[in-house]
Amino acid sequence: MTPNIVSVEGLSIDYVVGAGRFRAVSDVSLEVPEGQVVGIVGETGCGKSTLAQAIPRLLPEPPATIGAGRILFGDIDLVKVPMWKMPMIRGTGISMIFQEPLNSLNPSFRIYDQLAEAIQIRRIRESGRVARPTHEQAGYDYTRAPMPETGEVLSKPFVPGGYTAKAARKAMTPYPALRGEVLEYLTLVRINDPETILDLYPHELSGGMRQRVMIAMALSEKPRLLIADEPTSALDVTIQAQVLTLMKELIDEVHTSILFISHDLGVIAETADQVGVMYAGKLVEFGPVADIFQNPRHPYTKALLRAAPTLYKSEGPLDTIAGSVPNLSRPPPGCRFHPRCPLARPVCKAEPAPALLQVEGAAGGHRSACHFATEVPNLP
Amino acid sequence: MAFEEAPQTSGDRAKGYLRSAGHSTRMFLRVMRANPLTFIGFIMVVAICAVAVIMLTAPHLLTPYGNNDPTTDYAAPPSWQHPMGTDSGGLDIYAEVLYAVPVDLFIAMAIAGVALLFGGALGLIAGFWDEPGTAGGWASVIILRITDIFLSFPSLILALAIAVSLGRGIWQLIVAILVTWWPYYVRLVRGEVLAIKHLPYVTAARAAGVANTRIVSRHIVRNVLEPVVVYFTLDIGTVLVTLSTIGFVGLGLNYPITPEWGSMISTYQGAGLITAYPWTVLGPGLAIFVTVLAFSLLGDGLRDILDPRSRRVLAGEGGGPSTSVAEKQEEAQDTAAEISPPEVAEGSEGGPAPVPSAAGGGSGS
Amino acid sequence: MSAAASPSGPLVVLDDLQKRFPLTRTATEYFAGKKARAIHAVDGVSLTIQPGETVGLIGESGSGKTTLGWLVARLHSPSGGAFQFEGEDVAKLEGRELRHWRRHVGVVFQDPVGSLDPRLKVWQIVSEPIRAQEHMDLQLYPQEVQRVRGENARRARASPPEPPLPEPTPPHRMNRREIRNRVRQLLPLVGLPPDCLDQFPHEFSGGGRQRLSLARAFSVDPKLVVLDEPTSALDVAVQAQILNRLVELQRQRGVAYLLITHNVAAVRYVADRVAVMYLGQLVEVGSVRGVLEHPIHPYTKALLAAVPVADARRRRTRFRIGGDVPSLIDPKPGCRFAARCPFVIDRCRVEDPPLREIAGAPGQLVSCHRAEEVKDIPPASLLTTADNQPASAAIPTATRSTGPPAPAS
Repeated sequence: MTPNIVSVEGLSIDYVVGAGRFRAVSDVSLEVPEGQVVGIVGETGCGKSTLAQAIPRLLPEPPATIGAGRILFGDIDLVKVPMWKMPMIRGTGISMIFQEPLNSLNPSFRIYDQLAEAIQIRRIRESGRVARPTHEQAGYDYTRAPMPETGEVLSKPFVPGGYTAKAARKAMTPYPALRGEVLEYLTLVRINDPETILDLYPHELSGGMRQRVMIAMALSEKPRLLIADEPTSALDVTIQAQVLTLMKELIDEVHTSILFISHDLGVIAETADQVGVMYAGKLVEFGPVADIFQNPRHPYTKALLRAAPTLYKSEGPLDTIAGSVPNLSRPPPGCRFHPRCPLARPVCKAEPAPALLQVEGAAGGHRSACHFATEVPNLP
Repeated sequence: MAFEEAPQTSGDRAKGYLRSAGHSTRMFLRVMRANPLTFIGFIMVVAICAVAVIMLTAPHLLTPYGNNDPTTDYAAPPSWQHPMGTDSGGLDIYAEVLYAVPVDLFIAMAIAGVALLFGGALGLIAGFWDEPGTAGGWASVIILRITDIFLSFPSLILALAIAVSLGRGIWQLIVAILVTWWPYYVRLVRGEVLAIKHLPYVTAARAAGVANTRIVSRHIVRNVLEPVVVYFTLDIGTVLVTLSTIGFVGLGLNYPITPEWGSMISTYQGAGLITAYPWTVLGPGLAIFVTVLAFSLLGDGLRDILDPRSRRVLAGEGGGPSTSVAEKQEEAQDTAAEISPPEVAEGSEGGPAPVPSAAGGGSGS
Repeated sequence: MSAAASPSGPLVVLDDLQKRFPLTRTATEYFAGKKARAIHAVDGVSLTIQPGETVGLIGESGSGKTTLGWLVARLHSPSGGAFQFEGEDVAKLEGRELRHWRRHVGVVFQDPVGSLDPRLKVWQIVSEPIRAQEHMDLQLYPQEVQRVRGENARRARASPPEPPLPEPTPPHRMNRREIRNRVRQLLPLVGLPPDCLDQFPHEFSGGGRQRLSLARAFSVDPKLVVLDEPTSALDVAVQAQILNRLVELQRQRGVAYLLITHNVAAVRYVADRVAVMYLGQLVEVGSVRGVLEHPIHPYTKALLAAVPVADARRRRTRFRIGGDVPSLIDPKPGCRFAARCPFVIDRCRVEDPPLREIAGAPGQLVSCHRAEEVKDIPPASLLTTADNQPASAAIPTATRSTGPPAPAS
């Protein structure tokens, strides 16, 4: 059993807006095993992005609150870590790439500076507080930065003890000395002639190049977990295919654990080892990717696969899912999908909602939150 | 349900005619209750305007003294009979402050209002008919350069200079400040128009065959109005301070004849009365402070009130999925966006002259 | 407006249509006497659209497809080439004539939120084209009357005297109640309840807003509707609903569509013919079945191979067509895909390939010098495995037609 990098247990996230409060993510439990890619797929408003941003505690906490649950990173519960200590874990522990790199890259800094800053941070943490001057490095080195231990995170101060801010800055490696490593990472993401883009600003690059730079920045910190929130949704089809190919190759080379969020079933199928399907804030199905796509065990997953017209195309009207996504401040009782479900029976309306359980007769680890998971293969 | 979608309004009311007057008032009151500071500002502004109206029509309701009506208590400190004291001429300061309310308010609103209309109209033209090479383009360029010229003068000094040359009096004062005030509105309105001009709904109106003037009046003006009204409300406070400054310098209105707060302060300070009778400047100073504060509070909150979307958020309604998604986007910067990035990626080729990439690695996107 | 259009001819004929956006010259360029550079967004596109048919336009960003759509809706005026609508030249229309012509074309935009004025109610938004066109009908009425009278006078003088035309009735300006009724009839056609007239756009979801845009486009009974990525901002299930609606409306109204999208599957379902655009030019045109199941042009093959497919076998594939879309500014001669094409030869870099029909693929136009040689290579062969071996033909690509895939081996 590979250890889990991140384990989310019973997480619920609420949004408090005005006088109302609604639950964007409701009792979600999933694990990301080491070295694997876990995909989360769902439509708009299902809570997948909220979940993704909650793990490194990037959600703005006043409107969003973590109502219940734990987020275990190693053996640290990230929910309990005070906000001002979170930067220690981000970057080298958990790194994140976003959908629109034009918004995620600082438009005022050149590519070189942005990448060098990321590398700088990693070096400071690796060396245990003080950065040492750089030396030539041979080949790629994928040993991880030392994982902060529970005691260390929660008890030691964030600012390197014994150093004033000024002295700490002086001890840092000057940016020009990081050039070798910057070029290494740009080559890692398959950018040809990386010297040409070092002096450019983000808006001068194309979308695909910007996304590669973002991936380079994220990987240069050698994170334990990389969270990718719809990284290719903003890209054109052929560029998306290139970036996905890049990610597949990096997954094979670098063995980073990835949590991949997307609304596109095809993108998830291409990159993930395990897939979780979310609907209206709940995780309704989880399992190995081949099994989920060939033998879905939840009516929503099946309907989603049918409505995506690429594969199961036949003549006649496209299959749709009747009804619409429920209002999260007044979710339907019991199973949230029951108003739209062809298999709905009276028990589906009753509380509590069906739990995510291993489905009999399916592959190991294939779980579904449906009372009638075994009947789903009989649906058209 | 025969229809695939229904808009999800609050309370699941699907009937159409709920935009009755009663509903709007209730909505307004709820928003006010949710924003106490704005509510205070609103009450203060209403009170000040009410005072102005009363002072013009029935001044005896608020003060027993007339305007420029000396009493026999010269230089008396504040007391029950004279709440702000009297000055060396025996005028009740409280009464004078009240008589100055309609004057100051009128001048400030006149200046801000005319600047808004005039500058705003120019800004509309300069923003909408902006095509280089056409008549509109040239007009636009001329308007902008003239605006730049006016903006390059320090406004207060220019206003003072004009006030000096024109002399004292209400209309002269209004003109003096107005001349330096209109350019800001040109810039503001033009910026807003430029932002709105390229939105899809304006293009859709064009595609439907709507004439340009109607596009401007129906779509542009309404959507530009919101930030402009906010600015206008805050601007009244600024105008008031400027006008009082001019009065303070001695170039404003003729105090004992026409009451005006700045002139009052100037008179008292000039005659060396401050050291002897320090309470005299307290009255008009307080009046300026309270009025500017009222408009500032109101202006700050007005923006939230005017936007139909945030109106509901402020009023504390839990929303339908559209609102909840919108809220999540606004408040948590959630990237589960409905406006998906293909718009960002491909929008650049929908209009003229997207920025070409210098590196030659690729444009578009 | 005129009686000259023949009902059986093509609706839209584009002949070598061009649109250039000139870039302002820098001072040095100006004084050096250099000519202004321009973005060649649309560079010689020839296409016809028959009445009642759907033409899908596929391409990526930088292909010029949005600009072409706007040209067809006459939101831009062409820099060159001809544009005929029902046999009449509309490239040069201006002013009121142009606005009056707009009743024939409806447009639906990509952005569901920006397409609707947030300050107007639903009935005002949907009825905007109706009111605009009514206004113009009223203005043009006197001219129309004069024209008919002149024609009748001519007919009276002819020998033998021809029967006179009836005088046009004065257009009726609909009052508020009538307009609202009309909107009430339109809304169920797009799947919305008819009593949401007084709601505001922000009360609708993305799919609902696109339906409103659709209702607005259909309100004046156009002959052509240009849809610019109508479903990219929507969820998959809602996309399916909207696409079904589009087909239904076409069946009822006989309207033609120009569907601009990068979603190959949507085109497959809705369109009769499809045109693939790359860098301002059409590279392949043909029936949907033909182009999507047997693509000839290398770019079409690359596009179809690149579309992600919900099949776990794709995990092992790699897409090797590198490079970005080159710049649209003053493109160099030669085939524009040459820099990225896996089948490129020297001739491609020098000579522009013409759009032509090739033997063995009737009705399909391709612009490729090596069309005959590459015609039978399937898109799946552009995918390789991790060690750069060709992927097996069982790997699904976007051209798969029916049925679920065979179980993974």
